[in-house]
Amino acid sequence: MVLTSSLVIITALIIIDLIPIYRDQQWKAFFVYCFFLTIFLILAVLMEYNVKIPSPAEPIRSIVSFIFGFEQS
Amino acid sequence: MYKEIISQKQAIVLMITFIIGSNTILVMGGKSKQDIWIAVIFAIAAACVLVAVYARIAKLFPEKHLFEILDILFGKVFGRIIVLFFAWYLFHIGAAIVKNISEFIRIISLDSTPVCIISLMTGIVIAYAVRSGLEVMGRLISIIFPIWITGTLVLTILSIGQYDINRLKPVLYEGLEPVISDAFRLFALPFAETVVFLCFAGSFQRKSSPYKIYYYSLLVGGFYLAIVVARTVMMIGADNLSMFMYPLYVTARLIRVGNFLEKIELISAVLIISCTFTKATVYLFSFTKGVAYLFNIRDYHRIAAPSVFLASIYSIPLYESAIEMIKWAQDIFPYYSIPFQIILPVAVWITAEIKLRKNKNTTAENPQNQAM
Repeated sequence: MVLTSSLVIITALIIIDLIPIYRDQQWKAFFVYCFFLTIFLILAVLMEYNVKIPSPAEPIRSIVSFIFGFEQS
Repeated sequence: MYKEIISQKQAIVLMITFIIGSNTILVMGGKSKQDIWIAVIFAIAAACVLVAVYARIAKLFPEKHLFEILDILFGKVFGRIIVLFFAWYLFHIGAAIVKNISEFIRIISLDSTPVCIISLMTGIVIAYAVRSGLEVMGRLISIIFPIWITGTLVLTILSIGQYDINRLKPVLYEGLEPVISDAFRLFALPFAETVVFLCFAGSFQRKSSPYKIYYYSLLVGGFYLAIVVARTVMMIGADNLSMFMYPLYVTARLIRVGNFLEKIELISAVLIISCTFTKATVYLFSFTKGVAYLFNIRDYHRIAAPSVFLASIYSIPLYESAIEMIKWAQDIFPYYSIPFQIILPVAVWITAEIKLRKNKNTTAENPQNQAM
């Protein structure tokens, strides 16, 4: 489900946004755009195949607990 | 590319909506229970001090946004490293708010819909808003705001019959400690979050005063929250406050006028979603601007859509459940945000004051040297 909907969004974004950026030869924007879209696609593929994606919430909780001396719940 | 400008009124309205945007999480009962409205007032008082720093930074650097200011003060390399960290913070919290919206929608109505669909659909709306730019956002909020205030007033008036003032008692029964603990949490979320507005402080109209923008928004948004919190406590009581997932929504559900007007929680749901949507837009707008600045992209609108979609898809694995997210926001977020909400702005302010004084001294000394 997530991969299908992501592919629809990516196709729409390429048509609406990416092709005009390419035509305008805005290379920096083009590469950043492609980079973000690639990560977006990778995340969608991983989620589709139920691969656990690391969340920053837990490491941040550990760091905060370590610095401020909380007990981890 | 032309410079986006928003008027003082639009900036105030945007900031008020931003402050109120956390109400879904905010009303969750903390340690202070029925005294939570006092905690909100304490948090406003504490935020008044910090907001002065934000406003001073905006005043010192008119027509400059935070990323430019960091570059000016800390140099190209160190400045950009800070921008990178700040952009991460914006991305992370932006994604968390998208998660907040999608979980709220899923829990209250679309319980069979996969959360990824809700997140991506939310992403479409936010991406469109960010892509349209700050001016459009400012105008949109100016139109929505009166409707939004009317909706809140209608809910408040219709629920008057269910208020029980005794639910606010006993006042300060457990002392000041729980109130101060909750005040710290409320200080970080939502009041000190207004640091995000420094990312587009350069777009404030030249004649507008950052102090007015920050203080009006803080006071109006803050007291609004205090009233909403007190209203919720008076309706469902402090013990029930921590039992319900979204107390604000639940209180709207209880409203019943005779036999003909009931189930008007939809108004509350629309209000909650629209405010939270504004908050997510502001965060992801600032993130997009930060990324554009990092890569020297002149037109940030160009990269708005993939930035927002990246945040919306990353919001799915960010927290496993809404409860975990709310707990994280209550327990960890206030500490996590200290470097971005307090340390960074204070460091920027002190450095800016020192640099400006040095500049003043050198310009004052130069004419003397020239005369000699």
